[in-house]
Amino acid sequence: MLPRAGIGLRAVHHEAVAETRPDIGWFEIHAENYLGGGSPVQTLDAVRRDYPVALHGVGLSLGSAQGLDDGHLDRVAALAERIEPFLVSEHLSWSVVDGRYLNDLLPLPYTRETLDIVAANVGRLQDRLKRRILVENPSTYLRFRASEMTEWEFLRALVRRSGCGLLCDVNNIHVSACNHGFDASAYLAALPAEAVGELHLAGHAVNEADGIAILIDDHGSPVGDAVWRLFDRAVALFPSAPALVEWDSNIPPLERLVAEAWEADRRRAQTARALRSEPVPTRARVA
Amino acid sequence: MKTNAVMIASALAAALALAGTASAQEAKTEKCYGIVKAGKNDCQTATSSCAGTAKRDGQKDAWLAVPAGTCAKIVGASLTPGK
Amino acid sequence: MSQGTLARIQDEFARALLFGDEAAAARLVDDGLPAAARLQIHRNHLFHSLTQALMQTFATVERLVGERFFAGLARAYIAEQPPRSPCLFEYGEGFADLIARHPACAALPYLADVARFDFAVNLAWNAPDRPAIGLDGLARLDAESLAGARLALTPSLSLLHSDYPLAAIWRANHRPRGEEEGVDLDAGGGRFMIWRLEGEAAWRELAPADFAFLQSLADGHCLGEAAEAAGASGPFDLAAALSLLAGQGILIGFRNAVARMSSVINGDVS
Repeated sequence: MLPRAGIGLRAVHHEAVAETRPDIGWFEIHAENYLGGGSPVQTLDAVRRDYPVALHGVGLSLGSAQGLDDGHLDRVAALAERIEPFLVSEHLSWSVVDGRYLNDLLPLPYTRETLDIVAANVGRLQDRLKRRILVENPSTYLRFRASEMTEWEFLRALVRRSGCGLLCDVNNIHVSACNHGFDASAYLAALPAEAVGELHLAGHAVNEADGIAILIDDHGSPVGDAVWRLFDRAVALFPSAPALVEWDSNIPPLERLVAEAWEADRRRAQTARALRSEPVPTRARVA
Repeated sequence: MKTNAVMIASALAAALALAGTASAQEAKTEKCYGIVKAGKNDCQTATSSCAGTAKRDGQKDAWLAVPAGTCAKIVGASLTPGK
Repeated sequence: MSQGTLARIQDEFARALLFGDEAAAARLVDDGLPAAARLQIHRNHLFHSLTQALMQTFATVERLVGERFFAGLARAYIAEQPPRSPCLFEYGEGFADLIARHPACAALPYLADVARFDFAVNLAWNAPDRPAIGLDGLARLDAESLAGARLALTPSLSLLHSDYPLAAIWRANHRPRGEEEGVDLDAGGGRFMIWRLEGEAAWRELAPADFAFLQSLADGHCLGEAAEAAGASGPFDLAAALSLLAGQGILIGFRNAVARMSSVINGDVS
């Protein structure tokens, strides 16, 4: 069985999800939206009764030199205990310094010092949750002079050091590859295949304000052709990793997200057929 | 303590006797429908497409002059300076 | 202990984003787009995304002053008091105080209280769930213990006393855009309790004595002291006030001072 695609659960769709119970594989939630009480939490509990749920952190700040925030870690752990997510993930980024949250997934210099810090933070999170977590490659708009290795080298080393898995966001790879001029396919091929446990798909915007195009990871448009092509390569390399469709701005009606998840399913099936028939090209098989 | 323990205990007994009877108080409660319910953290995982590279600090003080919303509809003597 | 390189970089980066400090740019590879423009993407995102979050929380304030004026207030607030939690439904606690002392808001004396009301509604929506207890939980205490009991109230509750007609202002500004109604400020102020009732944010106006009673309990005083404070504020019916507490899901247990009692009730100590 090929893994079905899921979609990111957003507050504007809470009612539509409850009413239509769309035929998709699973939902992913941003942990920080569900750490209070009241109706958001009730909605989540209802969704969890019908679907597998993945927990995606946006505020744990795995790259913070000052370490993880104990209070926040406790709250995320309590939520994980309650909803029993089938996957837990966070980003290779940082967002807090001296207790001030900057509300962004900020980039890191890829150095040995950073690797020590991120590996320690990932280790603490995994110990606290008593499970392996997935670390997501970020979209980046800048690079640090201090970096001693590429992002994929950093991620490979992090997997070795911490035993974590990877969440491979193919849109983020495309965005960063365009912004910094590297080869997205080479990045994908360099990831340790056995560690990749989830894929993300999203749209991005192109900003040309200063005459130089910069791709902005806004999750505000349909998945682009280049990203779909990269996704086809990703499902060939990481066949067991389920995919997720993410929208966070200009969010369209639920049906459009569901249609994109189905498109991901269709493309995965097509890739799987092509792979099966490859060794014996004369005997084409239909699954 | 002026309010003595016996008075409180008897008030509680009276309140318990009231419990279950339809309360006129319900009518005074107003619910806040139609407010945004959740989802503020979705903007963390995606970069705002409004972000861009252009500096936005230029307008620093331009906004200070005039609030331009419905506050024009709020009237009353207590708005007069030096009241 | 000396600060590591990453810690220094993150400190510089935070100052670049919040205050436009330039030290961080020297750390970045400068190709194609200048480093300062690359940093600006994150700086713009920080202010834009937090302004959007504040606009949701302080929806009435935004209607009153308009988007542009609101964005200016938000910018001042974000730079001065960035979030202390990654959960944005918790952001904005100090916004009303900033409005109260901001010169640009001097002609809108009611605006800070409207912001307090908006924040209370936001808290009512998002506060953690705590099971309410009924009055029978109190009835198990003997008379002396009852008078000395310190009651724990739902974390979704806010108490707000204003010189301005906040309920009328809220109602007038939550009609469809363009159909907002006028409000006469001289209609007088009110005392409000705002909390979550059956999953929805709710409010009601309270008589001075009921308000004083709840305020005293919320401040941690015992039932006897709260009843006394209420009696000093106006005509007070303790039985009615107690049934209000229990009937609206306000009462959740006992504070630490009588923790041994709370284990009898439901084990929930706040």
